[in-house]
Amino acid sequence: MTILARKLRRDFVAARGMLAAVVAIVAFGIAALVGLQTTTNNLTSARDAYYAQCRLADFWVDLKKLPLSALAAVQAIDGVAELRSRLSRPVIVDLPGVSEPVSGLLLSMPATRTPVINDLVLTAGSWFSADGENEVIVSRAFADARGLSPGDPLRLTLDGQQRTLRIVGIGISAEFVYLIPPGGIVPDPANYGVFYLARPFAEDVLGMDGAANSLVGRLTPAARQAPEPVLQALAEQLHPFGVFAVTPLKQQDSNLNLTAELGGLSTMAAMMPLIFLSVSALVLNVLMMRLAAQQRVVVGTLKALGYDNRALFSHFIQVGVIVGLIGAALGLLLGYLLAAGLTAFYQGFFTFPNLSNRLYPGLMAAAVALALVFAVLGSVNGVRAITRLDPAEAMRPPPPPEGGAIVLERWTGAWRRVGFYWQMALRSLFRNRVRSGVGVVAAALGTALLVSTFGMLDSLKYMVQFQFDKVLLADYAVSFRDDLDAGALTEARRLPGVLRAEPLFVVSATLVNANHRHRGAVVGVTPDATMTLPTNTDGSVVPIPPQGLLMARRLAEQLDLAVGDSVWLLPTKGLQTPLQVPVADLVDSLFGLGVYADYDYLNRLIGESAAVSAVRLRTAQTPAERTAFYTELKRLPTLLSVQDMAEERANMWQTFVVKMGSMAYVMILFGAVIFFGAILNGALISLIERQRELATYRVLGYRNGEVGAMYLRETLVLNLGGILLGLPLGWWMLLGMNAQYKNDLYMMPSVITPAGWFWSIGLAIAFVLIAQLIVQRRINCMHWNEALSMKE
Amino acid sequence: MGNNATADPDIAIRCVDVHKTYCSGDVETPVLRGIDLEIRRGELSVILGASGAGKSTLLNIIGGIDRPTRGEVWCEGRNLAVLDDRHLTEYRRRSVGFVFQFYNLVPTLTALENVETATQIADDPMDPAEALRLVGLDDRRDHFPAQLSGGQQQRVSIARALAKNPLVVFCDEPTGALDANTGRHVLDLLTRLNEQTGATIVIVTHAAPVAQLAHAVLHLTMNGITATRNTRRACAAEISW
Ligand SMILES: Nc1ncnc2c1ncn2[C@@H]1O[C@H](COP(=O)(O)OP(=O)(O)OP(=O)(O)O)[C@@H](O)[C@H]1O
Ligand SMILES: [Mg+2]
Repeated sequence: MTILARKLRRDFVAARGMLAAVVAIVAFGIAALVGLQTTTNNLTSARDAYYAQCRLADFWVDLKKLPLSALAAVQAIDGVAELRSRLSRPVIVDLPGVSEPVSGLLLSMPATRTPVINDLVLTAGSWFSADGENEVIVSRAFADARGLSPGDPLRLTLDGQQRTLRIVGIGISAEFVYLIPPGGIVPDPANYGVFYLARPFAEDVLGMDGAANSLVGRLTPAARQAPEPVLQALAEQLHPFGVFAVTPLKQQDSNLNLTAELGGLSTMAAMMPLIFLSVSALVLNVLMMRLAAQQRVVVGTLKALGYDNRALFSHFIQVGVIVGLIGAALGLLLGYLLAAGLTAFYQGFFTFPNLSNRLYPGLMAAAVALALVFAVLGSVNGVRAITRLDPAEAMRPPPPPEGGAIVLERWTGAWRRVGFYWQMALRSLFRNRVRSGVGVVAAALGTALLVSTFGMLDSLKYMVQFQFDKVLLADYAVSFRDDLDAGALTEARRLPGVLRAEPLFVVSATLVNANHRHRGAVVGVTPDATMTLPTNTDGSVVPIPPQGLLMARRLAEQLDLAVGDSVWLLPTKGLQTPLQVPVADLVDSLFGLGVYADYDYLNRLIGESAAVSAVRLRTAQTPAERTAFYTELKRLPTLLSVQDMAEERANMWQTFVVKMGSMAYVMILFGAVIFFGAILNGALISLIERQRELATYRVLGYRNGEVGAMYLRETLVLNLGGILLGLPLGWWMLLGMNAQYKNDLYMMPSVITPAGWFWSIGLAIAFVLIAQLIVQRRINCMHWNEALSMKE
Repeated sequence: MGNNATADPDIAIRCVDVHKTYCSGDVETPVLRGIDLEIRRGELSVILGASGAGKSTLLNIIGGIDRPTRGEVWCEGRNLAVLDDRHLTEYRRRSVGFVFQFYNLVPTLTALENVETATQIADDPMDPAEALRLVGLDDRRDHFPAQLSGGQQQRVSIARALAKNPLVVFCDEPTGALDANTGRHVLDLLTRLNEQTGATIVIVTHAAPVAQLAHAVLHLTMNGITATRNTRRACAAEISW
């Protein structure tokens, strides 16, 4: 069919503007699919390889002190395949030239390198020498942030004693792909690191000879399917040694965050291509229906010449196939670049030894197939109309275009008042219902994309602001390793620049209701506290009840508890006797599984009085006072950590808002493509269809601008309608995306500020107007005389 | 009847009691009511009739584009009235050439390529360039339809119809869109081609003078069809309408 092929090529060139619009939409859909899915695959395979390389644990147990002699019994539990005991301790790092105490986690590793559970990957330097005395391996992100390298000294405060160690190596571990400081929400590599010591040396400095306080283990493949009973048995077996927490891999902080991110990515990888490919199919449908109408006589002639339906079908369906193929090819390229960018973005977010961008031929083949499916779906209507055309019918002049009055004209009064231009625009819109519908749908989806993007940003901003303006109201959060007495509070109040200090009493405990259990902590808060305010997502503060527990609703649901029920509390402090405590109230918090109680009430329950585990400080400090403040804190032997809330806030803002903000630009670009593609396609088709009509107006003396204004009205009606529909749709998409990030520990609030709405609508309208400018240019350089003398 | 239809090798097409009624919704429009006709091989026949008489309808039926409501249309031993779409397409492909009132050239193909649209699917086609030469357009082969005058476009259309070496060439108002002079040229061309190539040509028109060119004239009216033969044929230059 070389002649038909030649015709096809020329038809293509003639309709290149409109086809380019469709190709762009297809390309972006495929780019979204390939880009997001490639990134997901990159992350997943990097994760799997890394987890395998480090032999990542299936569970973690934190406990007070376990004699190594008791280990065999634990190892014997059915379902436990392998176990490693280790030492773990929070530490304070004293960096030269840094006034604030930096905190971190100390972990022990075998003195000689053997593959163990939660192994390290060394990225610089070497393993410990001999028994590793005074040697430390530092986590890479911290070393990078603080400019540390092997050979450098590092001063750690261990159990109130300062020791200067020598850095021998820099390493990373699958345990901390996403390392979050305790109580934090985002990584803070400059202020929180992991420090690995050789086991004998660690036992020595921590005074833990022949004992351990952390277990990491792997389960048998069978137990991995249902870890709960094994972990239960584990907790019971270890109970005498003071279990603080038993954490399955599924709930481990780093893994949890990685999983949430992957979940969000795959949702996007499904949603975005669906939107784009659907729009492309709709737009292509319009284009092909137009082609069918335009080529009516040609088709009839070819049929009369003896071309059969098969030949014509394959001839015209090729338009769709070629659009699909070109779009797919561009999409693959764009998608690969997008994946490269996203993967680089995640390299800064997660710590992997080898996260790289790769090609996935299967995915690419699937993407091309998908593009073809949608392109063919989009063309098939038009092609069917073409092949169904009866040659005798096609020879006859086409039925006159739907003239007649449109529905709106029944309201004669109102109809007359809208004026000539609006009448023209409305008639045209109503007579091309399918095309108008496609325009509205595209505008709605484009707007929805913008709304959900700005909503995502607003939600993140809201989350940060909420956390720091409503919940964490202190300037500093200071935690102690052991509970202190009321004297600590008095001392804290005397620290330089401190205006107010409020005590917290934190009790690690297991909450049990029937067969539901949760290991966490109960926080005792004084009734007059102003810096620890359990707050509902709507911003209202829930007062601490004088009796009983105030519980995060999320946790209450997990434990199947309601207000008024009582729950077993197994504290790891004080007398450690199981207590039955009522649930007094619930709080709808954004983050965590918090449990609060009245400070004195909790002290009484546990059998303590005025115990202080942490203080919250409000300050007004000069720089000198600040330095003095830190110096005094560093001197405290029981200091666990100091959080500067302003710094936390800045860090969180940087992580969430700034980084995600750059993603938003990409999304806005995607939204723009939908608007441009759909508007240009629609307008160019109608320009061609109506060139004779428009030429007539020009001959009658209308100016280019006036002719363009007719189009502007149509475009505005369609797109403003679409934008209006897109607003709720975008909100709904935002809810859907945020629901993906919701898990046992936190939820994303869905918020769109007036500014977010404004930007969404403003950008949408800007896209519409820019597209209109292009249409106007087309009108300006249209050849009127030709259009008039041309035979359809 | 079937034997009868194929019996005479001089008859290219024979219609027997052909009826056509258009139905749109509840409205039935009878157009052809019992048409009997014969088109002789190698002759130039003209079908005459007033506007709305059903000329195009009849031409579509004998051209294999449409089917009669009732009756038989015999060509090469087959009854077109009962052929399915596939076989009708086959018939048009092998046996029929069309010349349309509005030329119906593919606007994105050159003159030569338009002729090739026909030769590519024919069994025993002419060389497309030769077909263009026959209609006197060999110097315009690379022009697109928009670059040709109406008469030239119609000549390309005729070349396209002839290039297949079809059994019959059907022309529906071939001069309808042309001025008198250009029209005469086209008619002259058709008569000459009929003589030179021996092609069977059927011209449909409402312009009575055109009938003077034909061997056989078929008058189509509301009441049926009547056939007459011209004893003396005029040449195209002599007629005017
Ligand atoms: N699809 C159709 N549905 C209903 N009526 C039709 C249809 N096609 C043709 N007709 C009617 O059939 C009659 C004959 O139409 P046809 O086109 O064959 O006439 P014609 O002789 O070719 O006329 P003209 O010289 O104007 O071309 C006309 O009255 C026309 O209105
Ligand atoms: Mg006619």
